[in-house]
Amino acid sequence: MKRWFCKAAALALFLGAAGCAGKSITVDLRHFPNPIMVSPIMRIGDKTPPTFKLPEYSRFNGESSMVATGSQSQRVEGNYVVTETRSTRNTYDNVAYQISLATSGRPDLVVVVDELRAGNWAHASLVAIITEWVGVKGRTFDPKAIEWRGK
Amino acid sequence: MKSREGMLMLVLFVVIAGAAGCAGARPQIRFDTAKVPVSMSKTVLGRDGRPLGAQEQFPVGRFTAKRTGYAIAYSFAQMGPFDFSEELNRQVGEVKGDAVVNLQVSTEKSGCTCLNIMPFIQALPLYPGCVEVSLEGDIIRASRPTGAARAK
Repeated sequence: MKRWFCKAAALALFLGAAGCAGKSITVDLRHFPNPIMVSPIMRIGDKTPPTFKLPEYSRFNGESSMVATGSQSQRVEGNYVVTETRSTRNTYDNVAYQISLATSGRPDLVVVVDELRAGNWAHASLVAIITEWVGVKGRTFDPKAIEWRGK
Repeated sequence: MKSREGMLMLVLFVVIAGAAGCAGARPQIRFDTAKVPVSMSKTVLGRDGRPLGAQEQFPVGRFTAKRTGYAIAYSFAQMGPFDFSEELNRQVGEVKGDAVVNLQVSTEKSGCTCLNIMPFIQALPLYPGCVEVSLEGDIIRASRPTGAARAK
């Protein structure tokens, strides 16, 4: 009973560390000079999405993610039960890097996001693992490749 | 002998971990029926297809939206659409904006974190997982707003 209570307390501690409030992962591409379009309408004033008359300049696929792990072990030392809880939190972000590679320094390219996905995944047994991510997949186009159908 | 014990421990770990399952969600964020352009950067294309510079953008409000996406079957089966067009069109329409720039996408630490990490119950394929997603951006106009629009 006491052991289970300790395990529950450790899990609660881990959840507290991982956090049940606040922001976890944010994709922030505000510094890019290229338009990074997530809507079908790509130009102010248009009512119809454009079409592309030439193939894309490049493709990209990036992800921003966070992985948190927690585990707990117990051992008896004399009259004491020692409970040791370990937790880690790692973040990884390559969305901006992948878009930089795809645009190769050309500020005139239009970046079109085909898939924007946010997700998470958690597992708890002998260890607890929480992972959260935002994935961005898309293409870049030369402005000449875009046929505005417009207003 | 030691290697056999190690192997048994590994097998035991894999069996327990597999039996414990997992939970989560991974919805696709969409703006299928958005009436204005939405950009994740500071740049958006103007009426002539030319990028609008910072001095040609006039902020008139903030776009914010938060929604929870659900899934079952270990996050493989997503439940419901995740289209933010309605919120976007409403908020942009309220301030008569022309576009949204600087869109930031975040996953929120929320009750979902606690729901997803229920040991062993999450092994049930019908156990739901969820993720809370928040969006924030600047609503801009391509021409200088009138006094009333700017006040909002």
